[in-house]
Amino acid sequence: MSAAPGLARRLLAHRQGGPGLLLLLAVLLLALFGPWLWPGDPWEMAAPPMLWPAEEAANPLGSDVMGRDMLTGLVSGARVSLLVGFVSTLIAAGLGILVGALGGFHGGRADAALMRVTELFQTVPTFVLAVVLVAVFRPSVATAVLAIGLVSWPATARLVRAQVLALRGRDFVLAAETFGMGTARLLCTQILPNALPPVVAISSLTIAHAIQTEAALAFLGLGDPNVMSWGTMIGSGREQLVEAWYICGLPGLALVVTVLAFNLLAEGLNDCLNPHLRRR
Amino acid sequence: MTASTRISAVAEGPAPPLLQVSGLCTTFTTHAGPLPVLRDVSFTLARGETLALVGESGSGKSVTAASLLRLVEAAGGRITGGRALFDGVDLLALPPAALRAIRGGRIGMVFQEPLSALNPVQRIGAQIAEAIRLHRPLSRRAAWARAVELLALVQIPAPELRARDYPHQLSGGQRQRAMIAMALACEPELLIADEPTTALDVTTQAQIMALLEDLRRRLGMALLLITHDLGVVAGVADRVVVLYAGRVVEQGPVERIFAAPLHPYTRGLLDAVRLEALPPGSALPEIPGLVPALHDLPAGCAFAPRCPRADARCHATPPPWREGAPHQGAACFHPLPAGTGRHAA
Repeated sequence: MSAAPGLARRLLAHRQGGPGLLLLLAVLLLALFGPWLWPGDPWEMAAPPMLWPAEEAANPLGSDVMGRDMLTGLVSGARVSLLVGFVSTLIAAGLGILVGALGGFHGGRADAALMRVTELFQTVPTFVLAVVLVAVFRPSVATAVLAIGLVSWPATARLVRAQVLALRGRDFVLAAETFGMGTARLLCTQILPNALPPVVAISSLTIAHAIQTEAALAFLGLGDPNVMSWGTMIGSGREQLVEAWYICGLPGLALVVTVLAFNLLAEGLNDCLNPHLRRR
Repeated sequence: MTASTRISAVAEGPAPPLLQVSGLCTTFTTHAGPLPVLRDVSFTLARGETLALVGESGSGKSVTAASLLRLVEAAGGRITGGRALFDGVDLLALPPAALRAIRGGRIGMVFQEPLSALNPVQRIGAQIAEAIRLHRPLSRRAAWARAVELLALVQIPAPELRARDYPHQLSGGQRQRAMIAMALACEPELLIADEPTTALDVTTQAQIMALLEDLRRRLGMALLLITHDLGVVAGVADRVVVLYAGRVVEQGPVERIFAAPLHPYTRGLLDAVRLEALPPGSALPEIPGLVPALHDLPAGCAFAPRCPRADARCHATPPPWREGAPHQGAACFHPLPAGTGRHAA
């Protein structure tokens, strides 16, 4: 695998990957250093309600209908979105790789059974399933992460399966088999390292989708009641959409920017990790 | 050392053969129905001997090699019969763990196209070290040192540097040397080489064959060489097995096969490469017709439709195996009389 600095440089030079990486970096910095730059509880009613952005120096992005500071809320939302996005995608990628690799490698009945389960998950609308899962358990960041992870793996599983199927019969895999490698080692050292680049690219899309799903859950009031997320903010501001559109608009913009960043990054990763499109 | 002295030593020794394949049948399942790719393939290979498996494309040479190491299963094939005794143990009936111990341990394999047979995302040295550590309890560092030694053994210049290269950074010949180093990682008793020089240019081909022959002699391995290059066969093989449409049609010592072939197909193959005896301007000799499709094989001898000596019996019943000379036999009703191997002027 090429070294990480080389990949970062190629990504930055890429038409979509570059802007994606920079946007993501901005959101990441906001999430990391925001609480330190603008300390405070996002739930605290610290200002007069419905202050417009730039009206008061203490609340640079204004306040919502209950007088909670918008900027502190946006920072908290960035942390929640990124956390939920990354961790649930980790779960989805893990499950997807496991299911796809086992199905693709063994083929036959095991493959058929695993793919039927995958199709079962694909036929159920993912958002409805996530709503049900979160509603059954108590809404919290952990249940949101689990629910989103559990509904997001089928695409990864199908992709990994296709990759493994294609790689299973390749000469170097057969050659490794003639050196006496068993199934686990063949998968881990020969097949998966060659199958992962598109998985990395699709995982960026999975993160984007997970962030949207989390926001939608929070909008419906199925988010963690103790954590301010972008979805919560949009939900609480929807009745003032006409007189104070910024209450929905700012978290909405943050959501758009973050999801766009991951989509652009996925595009960039797909090109930069694909050896057929990359010039050596 | 000439081929003949080696053969006589082998033939007179009481030791059992290293590899004894008998009645090997392999079938591939396709949309058009089952395809009998190997039908009753039998041959033996003594310790330290070089056996060449020759035949046209599609004759079953590579499938024979893949069947011995049970690789056909991953490619959609099934071994439907026969035995392959390796030092007394049937490879075709081994449980998976024992099979893994033999693969890469006592039997090594070299593939035809080294670029596709090496993992593109792993350094050469790491691949060889891993092959070693599968069978030997060595530390990573010791396995790496051994990998560099092996690269030196296969005459790759600056082996410490090349060990850190990825496959795409090496030349074709170097890649095949690296592949051979990997197959030799655990000093196998048998090396199976499936057309090891086909993907290389002519000068590199000669170097790789010389290297294989040298290593075979130094390490005392047996070599099962799969090839369609009769020049290579004449240079290195002790004995030859000729395959046609999944059956052994002739086998014998290399000098007998070249000087006095029994089967008309062997004769046709030899004529097709003995061009120096042709008068200038004459048409190139060829075997008329095509290899029969495996799902539509004739009832009798598979070569009968193309054979100048075929009669009604050949078309009706498959010819039995007949010994035509000491250690030489063919599956033919009308073997060629001795002394007709040289191209008739």
